[in-house]
Amino acid sequence: MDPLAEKFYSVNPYNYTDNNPVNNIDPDGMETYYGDEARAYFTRLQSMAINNEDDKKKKKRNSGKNDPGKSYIKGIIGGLDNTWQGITGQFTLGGMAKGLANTVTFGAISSADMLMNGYTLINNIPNYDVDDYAYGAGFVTEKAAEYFVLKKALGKVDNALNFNLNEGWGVFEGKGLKVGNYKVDALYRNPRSQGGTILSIKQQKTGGNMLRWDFGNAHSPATGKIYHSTFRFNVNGNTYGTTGQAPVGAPFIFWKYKQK
Amino acid sequence: MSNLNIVYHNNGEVSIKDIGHKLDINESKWDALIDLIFEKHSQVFFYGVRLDYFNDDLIETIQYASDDFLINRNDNFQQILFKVKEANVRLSRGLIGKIWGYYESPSLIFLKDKSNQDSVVSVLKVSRFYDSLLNSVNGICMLYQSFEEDVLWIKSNDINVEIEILKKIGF
Repeated sequence: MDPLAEKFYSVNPYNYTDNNPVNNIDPDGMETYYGDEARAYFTRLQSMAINNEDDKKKKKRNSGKNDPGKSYIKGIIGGLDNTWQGITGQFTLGGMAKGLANTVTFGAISSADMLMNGYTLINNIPNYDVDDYAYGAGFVTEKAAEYFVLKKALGKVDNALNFNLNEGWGVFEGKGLKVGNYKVDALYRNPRSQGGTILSIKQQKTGGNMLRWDFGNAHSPATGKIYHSTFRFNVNGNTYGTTGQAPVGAPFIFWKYKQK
Repeated sequence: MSNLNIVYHNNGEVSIKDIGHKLDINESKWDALIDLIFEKHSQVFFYGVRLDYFNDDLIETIQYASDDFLINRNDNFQQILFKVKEANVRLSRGLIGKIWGYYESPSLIFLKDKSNQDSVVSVLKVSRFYDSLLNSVNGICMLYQSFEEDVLWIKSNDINVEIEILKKIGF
């Protein structure tokens, strides 16, 4: 819920970026950046990254006392929530139907671009503070999720574009984006015939899968629609999800999949 | 084969869900199936794509399990192919099970005709996708794990082998 909801009685307190996550961004939930301003903000983030090597204070803060993995997971949860609220909010707006397809197409392309930029950003900030780093990774995750949700909403996936990046190895070229003990991959083709993975987050250990969104045929026709998810993670000692497939929206309501 | 749910798919794939368990290729429940497939073929390879994480233990385990290391893309283990010693498939699959856990897309490739080994290597060097191999080299049967951690997939380009497998698993 918007912590500043009381300042904006005219809009729903669950809205994200004034119901327009395609053009606007709200990095910390405290202020919405619109259109060109949003793009400028992102460019500024990139500049910060490039100049960051000279920032000794940042180096000092990156002493390892914080846990980038935990910060990252917070970022993922926040990012997914923002994405979901934003997308669902957008779809409930009246009068959106006519231009929805164009909006969604633009949004998906825009998300893919920002996903790439986010990756470049993170790769160029070796001395980033762990929280900033985790925030950046959370941003990438959010964009991948947004890309996926938007594309799903549009009802089609262009395999040639989506799963052939870097010869099908995906955004992170096979090695993945490493944040603490976590590894993130996005938009890659799987070796098993057609289909691919939109987003994968896992701990770097055997059986470390935490969250995946996949495109392609699954084992069970009952839940094995063309898009689906698998997720399993622990929060505060509780296990959510299973090793099996789940409906595509399940990770957004993971608390309903709590294991006994 | 209890606690397993089997589905035959239109494209010739067979999927077996190990209900309630994460797939472990080392378990004895897979012995009969793997023995059957091995009897119809002469060689078996481990083929892994997308390494989840790396440590020295991986290299050591591969050294113990392999007969011949054939592909290591960019020397970073993101795509590997090696010939597996027969004992590590039929007697004990502990080592293979361990390496299996390192990869997002692990698989076993069974090859009928030994003389096609070079073809297997050359095809997978050009295209890492299973269908490329199945469409290019005769006498191939593959066991693999995909995005579901509790499902084993089987695909063969030999109709006779496919029929034998379906009989064996009671489909």
